[in-house]
This record gives sequence, structure tokens and C-alpha cells, in this order.
Amino acid sequence: MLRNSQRIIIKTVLFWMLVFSTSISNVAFSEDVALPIFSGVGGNFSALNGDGKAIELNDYKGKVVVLAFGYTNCADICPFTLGYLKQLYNELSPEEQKETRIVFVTIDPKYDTPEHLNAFVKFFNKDFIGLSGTQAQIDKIVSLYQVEYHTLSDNAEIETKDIRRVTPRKTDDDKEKGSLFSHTVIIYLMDKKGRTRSLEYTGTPKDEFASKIRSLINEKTLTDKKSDKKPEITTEQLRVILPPSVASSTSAYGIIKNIGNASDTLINVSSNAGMVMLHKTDIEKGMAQMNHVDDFVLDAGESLTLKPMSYHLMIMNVDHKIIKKDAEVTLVLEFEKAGKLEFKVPVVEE
Amino acid sequence: MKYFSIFVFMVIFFVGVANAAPAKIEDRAEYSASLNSIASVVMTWYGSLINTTKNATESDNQLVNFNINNIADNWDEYRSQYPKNINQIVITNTQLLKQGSDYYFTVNSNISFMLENKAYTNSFKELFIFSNSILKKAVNLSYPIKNIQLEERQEEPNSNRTAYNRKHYKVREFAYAWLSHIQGLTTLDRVMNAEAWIDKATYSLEIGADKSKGTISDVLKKRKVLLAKGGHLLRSLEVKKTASNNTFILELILEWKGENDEGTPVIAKIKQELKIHIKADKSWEVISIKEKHLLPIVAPWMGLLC
Repeated sequence: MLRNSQRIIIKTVLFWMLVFSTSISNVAFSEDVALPIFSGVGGNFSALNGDGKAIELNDYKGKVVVLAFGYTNCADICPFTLGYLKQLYNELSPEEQKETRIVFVTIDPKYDTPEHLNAFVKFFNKDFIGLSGTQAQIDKIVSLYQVEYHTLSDNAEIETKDIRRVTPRKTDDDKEKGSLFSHTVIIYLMDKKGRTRSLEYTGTPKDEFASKIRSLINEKTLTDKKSDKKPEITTEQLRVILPPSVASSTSAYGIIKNIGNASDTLINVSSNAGMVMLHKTDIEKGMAQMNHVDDFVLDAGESLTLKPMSYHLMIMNVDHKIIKKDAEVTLVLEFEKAGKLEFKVPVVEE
Repeated sequence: MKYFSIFVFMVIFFVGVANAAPAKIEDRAEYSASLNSIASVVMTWYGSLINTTKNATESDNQLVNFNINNIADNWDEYRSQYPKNINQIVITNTQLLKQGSDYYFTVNSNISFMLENKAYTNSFKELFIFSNSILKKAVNLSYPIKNIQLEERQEEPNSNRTAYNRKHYKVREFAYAWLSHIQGLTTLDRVMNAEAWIDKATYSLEIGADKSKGTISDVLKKRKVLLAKGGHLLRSLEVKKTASNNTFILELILEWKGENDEGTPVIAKIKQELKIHIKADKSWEVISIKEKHLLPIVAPWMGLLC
């Protein structure tokens, strides 16, 4: 049987061998441009924060989460991991830190009370979050993230005074006991939707890890991407034809263009000079017929040309005080996405 | 022989593994779809070559029935080149190439057989040429194979690995056809006798905290949101016995790489357990499917504990 001190030395040596021996594969994996979603790894859970209040992972939605597992009686890997995370956090700008949560979940909720775990993680950085909870809650989290851990010493507890610890738990019991565990070294990187996007460890160069965090902070969702696409409506040579003084209607011609990168639909036209409708002249059986057009889809990059015997804006019940020679008429083109767009349109003689 | 190849990959069928797959999503989807479809047909081909009556020690063989009705019509002459009384076939290597709209599938195998009460093994290198109709039309064994060429045959030291029997090929014929189905192809449904169970079997899906259960088509639709575009590759296959002699569990470990419906890359390590009942007529009936997405091991340090 190995003594605990021997186990710790062996674990430490193995860990450093691991750090140095696996850097090549880690670099290869990190070359991926977009971080993949790890299907089935993670999900929402409930736990207790440092104040003993119930929280859910979903409470951090909108933030990038770096999630590690361990326990406070861990003498080597956990303090090392949190030290690494402290340095990683310091690589981020204050603005990036605001968008990031460093979360440490205990695998030993029996010993790690919320208060004690809080003191442990805050020793490394005041912003770090320690999560404890009931055994059932921790079991659920461990199951979701498929975390592997085992008790050492065949479940026998040892006196905690024999463990080299960063923050001993406050106790009057000098015979206080705790368990030792071996556990995963994986650090989970989660995006703003709570999806696991990368699996790292303390062998990952901190600048590389920080750059992955940045990429997730700046990552746009599909909704964001869609919102980047906008229609942009302009007009060319838009003009109202001066009607005879006895006429009650006239037309407006010109070109309406969508120079944006998304389609839009013209749904209404109005004016201060009369009632306006989009009409189209069709030739049926040799006869010109004017038809009302309810709406007109203007794809990205497309134009609607308003001209005689084709599409045109029909202005009815014209106000001759407004539609007069050399005057300007207000035309409002209402689009589904672009909204109401107001144009000052000159009145011209045909 | 010069091929203009879109992709070239080595495939090892001991564990049902494709070692490499294309990085581009569209190529990967075509690669996995064609590989799984071709693999299922090739499993039928080799499984049907193994003699059942001469191999009395393989009791499992009695549960296996290959549908090879059309083989004789098309490939009887070619099949006459194989030795008689084959008792095992070990596929040692495969390679898939695409030329134009055809797939060139090279198979290296060691075929063991009995001749005058003495055991022999010959190595074969064969080229199967498949039409891309394998991805479009319902498959019977003969028609998607455009041509077969025996490229090499050599005598080898006799080997005695009895696991590579008819059942070995039957479960793989089924597994690869199933992978084609969950990829969205129905071309190999007949191979699986799917008509008898595809609307009856229950499918339980566990992806992290998300759990769902329903018919195969319902669950595949839900699954498609996350696994929208890409392909499944078989990484391991295991047959587990149950208390009943005519029911077993087929455990598959699959790798999936692709994109979700938003175009975000997704990787998955998928464990499926198919509970299968062998009916009196030797046809297979899937009773249930349990699927869970596991932690993919993407770096050597991941399995280590400190």
C-alpha cells in the first residue's frame, strides 16, 4: 500500500509528464477555426453558490463559462489548476472578464461547504465562483459532464491536518477528517448558450486558451448573423408628374432600389399630396388595365422601376396646393423591415 | 491504373473503423454515406461466401440468413473463382476512392477453406466498382455493383480465427445499413427487413440533459437539429447476449462530425444499443434503440485522472 505522500508525489510527477508529453496533440486540435459543440457533454444543472444560494448554470447564459472540477482537500492538482485559471483570467481584458465566468465545482460536497469552497476559490481570484450542493446535485453535474473521479484510500478518510492545503476549513476539531480523490483534469469551455465548445487542461498555453474564450465572447449566433443582413432602400430620379389643374390623379415615376444584403417588401405608400397606391399597368386583350399591387418584394440588389405602362405610384385625390410646379411632395415608402422611409420628391412637368 | 479521386481513404473493418475522413462537411457526408452503404453490401457478399453446412462448430451461423437471390444471376461466374468450403474470411484492409460518379472499393482479405480435409488460406485483393445509385435507389445485392475484379490471389499460411464467420458479417451488414438509415438514406432498408419494425421500435435519445423517446422517425427528426449535416462512422461493434437465445444487444460506438442546423461544427461520440430479436424465419426485428452521447476523447490526456 502506498502512503498518501507517495501517492501525491506520483500524481504530481505523472501530471507534469502529462503536461509536457501531450502538447503536440493539443496544438493540433486547437488549429480548428470554429470550436465544435461537444454533443451530449454538459447541460443545465442546479447547485449552491458561495453564499449558499441556489443557482443554475442557465443563470450564466450570455457569458462564456470556464468550468473545472476538484475539491478543497486536493493538495496538488486543484490548487495548480486554479492558479492556472487565475493566470488565464488575467490574460483577459477587464471587458472580457466581465463576459467570462470561472466556475469550480466540488466533487466532495460532503466536506466542501459553500462557505469553505467560496474561501478556497476566492483565494485565487475574487471573481471565481465555487459551486457545491447536495450529493444528488453534484452527482447530476458529474453525470452531465461525464466527469470521472474516484476516492483514494479505499474510502477511508484521513486527518485533514496531514494534508497540505491552501485554505484549511475553519474547525475546532483537530481530528477533522476528509477524503482524497483522483479526478479528471479536464477544463470545460462553454459558450454563451451553455454548450461545451472545448475541452482543455492546464497544459494548454494560456494565450491559446484565452483566444478561444475571446472567440466565444465574440461569436455571433444565427440570430445575430441574420440581424447583420439588412435591406437598404434608396431611390433614383423619383418624381411626381405635374397633373393638369382639373385632374384628380397623377403618377410618380423613378427607381426604388434595395442596395442592402437582405430582401424587403414594400407594403404601403403614403403622401401629403393625396392617396397613393402602387399600381401596375397590364395589357389584356389589347387593352391597358391598371391593377393595384398589394405589396412588392424587393430582393437584395434588386430595383423596382416605376414608369408609364408598367409599375407606377398612383396618386389620387391630389391636393393641388401641394402638387404644383417646382414644389416638393413628401412620399413615404413603408417597407416590412426597413420601416417608413420618407422622401422629398420634386414635381416635374412631363 | 490512374484514378481522378475526390477522396481516398483507408478503412479497417476489424473494428469497423474509417481512419480518416474528409474535413469538408459535404465530402464527409458523401464519404460516410457511400462507405456505410457499400460496406453493408460488401458484408452481405462475403458473409454469403462462407459455407454454413461444412462449419458445424459455428452454431451462430444457424441464425444467419443472407438475402442473395440476385447474386447468381449476375455474379455466378465471378463467385465460382472462390474456393469451396470457405469457413472464415478476414478482411485485412479496404480502400475507397471516387472516380466520376462511381465508387471504387478495394478489399484485401484472407479466405480460409477446407480442401480434402486440409485447411488452407489464400489472400485476395478484389476491386468492387459501385454506381452512385447505391445512394439513391433501394438496394438489392446485385445491381449497385457495376463490376468486380480479382486483382491478386496468393497462398498464405493457414490462420484459424473462427470469429470471422457468417454472423460476423451479418451483424456488420445490418450495422452499416442502419448507419445509412440514420444518415437519412432508405436504400438499404430492405437489407434490414426494416418494413417489419421501423415504425414499431422505440428510440430513446439522451444528449446531455436533453432526453427524448419516440418512434425512430420522430427521434431522428429531433436529432437532426443538432446533427444536421455530416456523417456517422462506425468505431466499434459488439454483440451482447441476453437471457433469451433469440434476442441480443448490438452495441455500436459511432463517431459523428458535422454541423448543427445553425452551421456550428458539432462532434459526437455516440453509443447505441439496439435490442434485436431474431424471428423464426431468421429475419431480424429491432425492438428498441437506446442512444447516449458520450464524452469524445479528443486528446490523450483526457482519460487520465490526477
